[in-house]
Amino acid sequence: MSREPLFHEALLTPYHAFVILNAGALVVSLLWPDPRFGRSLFLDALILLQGILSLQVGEAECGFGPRPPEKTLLRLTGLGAMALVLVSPLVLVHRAETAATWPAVVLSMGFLLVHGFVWSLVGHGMPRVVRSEGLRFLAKYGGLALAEFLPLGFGLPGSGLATLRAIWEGHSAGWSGAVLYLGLGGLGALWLLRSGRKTS
Amino acid sequence: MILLAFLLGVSGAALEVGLEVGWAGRPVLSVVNPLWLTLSNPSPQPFSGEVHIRGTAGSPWRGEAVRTAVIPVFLGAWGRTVWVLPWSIYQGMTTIQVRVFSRGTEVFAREFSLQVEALRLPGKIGPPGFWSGIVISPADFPQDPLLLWPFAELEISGPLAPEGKEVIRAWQAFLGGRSALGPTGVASIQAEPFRQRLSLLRPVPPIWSILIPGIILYLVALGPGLGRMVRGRSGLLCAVVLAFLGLSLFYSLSRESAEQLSSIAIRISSKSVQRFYLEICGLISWRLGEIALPGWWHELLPHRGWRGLDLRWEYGPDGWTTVVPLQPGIPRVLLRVVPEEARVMGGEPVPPPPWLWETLDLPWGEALLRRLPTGPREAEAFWIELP
Repeated sequence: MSREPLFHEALLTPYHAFVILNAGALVVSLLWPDPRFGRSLFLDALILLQGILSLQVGEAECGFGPRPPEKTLLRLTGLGAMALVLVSPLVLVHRAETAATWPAVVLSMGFLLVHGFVWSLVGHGMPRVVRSEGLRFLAKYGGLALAEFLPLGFGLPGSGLATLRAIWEGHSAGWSGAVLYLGLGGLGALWLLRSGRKTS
Repeated sequence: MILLAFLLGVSGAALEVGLEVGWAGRPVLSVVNPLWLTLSNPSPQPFSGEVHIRGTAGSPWRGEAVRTAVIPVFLGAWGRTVWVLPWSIYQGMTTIQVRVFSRGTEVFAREFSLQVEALRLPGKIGPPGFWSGIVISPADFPQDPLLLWPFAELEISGPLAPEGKEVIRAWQAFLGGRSALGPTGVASIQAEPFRQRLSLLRPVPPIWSILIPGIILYLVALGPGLGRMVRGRSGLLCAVVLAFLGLSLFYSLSRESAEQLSSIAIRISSKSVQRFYLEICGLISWRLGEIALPGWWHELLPHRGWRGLDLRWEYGPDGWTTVVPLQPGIPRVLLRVVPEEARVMGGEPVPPPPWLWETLDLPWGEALLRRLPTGPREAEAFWIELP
């Protein structure tokens, strides 16, 4: 039996597209006439694209069949980290152009890792909950859009967009969102470990 | 409205603190008002400490901007001192908090409430009489034209020293005042066009000649790298990512030294005013930080988004310093009346750019605008000479 590859073929295009789209967002943000808007444009694109990629990674990992839950956790974390490593040259350029501090960059990457992990867990768990592919598509991407944009409209914490912007600019307002995602990530990991043991 | 408070300090030392804001206790919104702070030490022990005056403008919805003045105080036995500060009153600033510290311990704290007038007031300089507006005694006449800003017009019905007339002329020329002494210069200042101009300033543009080829090369090189990763060979991908991480780190670090603060300075003088000129300063930074400007500056706040637009005035051996915290990409527009003779430093006459035209409501047909050589961190500098 051949060893399972770390990076599956089905993920090649999503990963490459993720970096290409982020590169495009970076160039657009630098060219945007109003630099105030340009500052957050790249970060907004980054977190939305990362959410989409994480959902796809989670679902693809679920499709590869049952695995020990610890291994699934490690793979989801590793694949999330890999996406961040691929996009990190662009993040460093954005740092230079927005004069963000190094701690802000490190904290932002940490938050992105947690954010990606949470959405990859959602993508991983979704096929068990929603069987229909069409409904699953709506639930995945509709859920992501709601979670990112709805809190913004009501001024509530929890939107990845607002959290990443705040952490990047060094505002304390980002902590509530970061704590929320950390909590969700921890609960999700526990859920995965427990449910994995029950089924195995 | 006169507000007085008395409180016993710690260790038996008594301290009397009085605060009055606005002419006749009627502070006016969105302008600089006089704030009188009276400190008395009725004890035989000298008092040494620091006074913190704090006002919060705005609301949780609009955003809150904090104004703080820090004054070091030394009072001898039974000593008394009066400070007159040019205090800016904004929407939502309904109280002013005064706290006194001595040797790190708070010895006095009190909040004084304000009842703010929406419109600038009519005033009169001269003897009291039948007059519905505020009457200023010539003896109380301020040395700083900013303190006359709460008045829309002034009637002069008594003798006034030449220095007093100069203060009134400066108030008319720069702060939209009206009196019989001459014409009005700058009728009003609309900070929004200036703020928009500032927000378009990028200190140093990106180095496109490195960025675009670098990004394209990275995206192209990622294709084969990811392809090999699928087959379990991660060497090429690691090499590509490490190479471009190194390049972007070098790019990022090389941009550290780039100037992160830009400013636009506008100085306005008038031929009718010898001793004062108006200085408007616009600041924008790409880095979180703060800048200390010499003198006492007043800020023209935007319509909304006041969160973090704080100012701190500190009194030191060289007089007042205004400390402006800067948030990335958020413009700050500040002004002050400088008590010095205007010295025009050359510069070529130019027509006013549209944003400047929209910012300043003044008789442009009679004014002469010069573009000045820029100083460090200055993107543009202008001098306007009014008739």
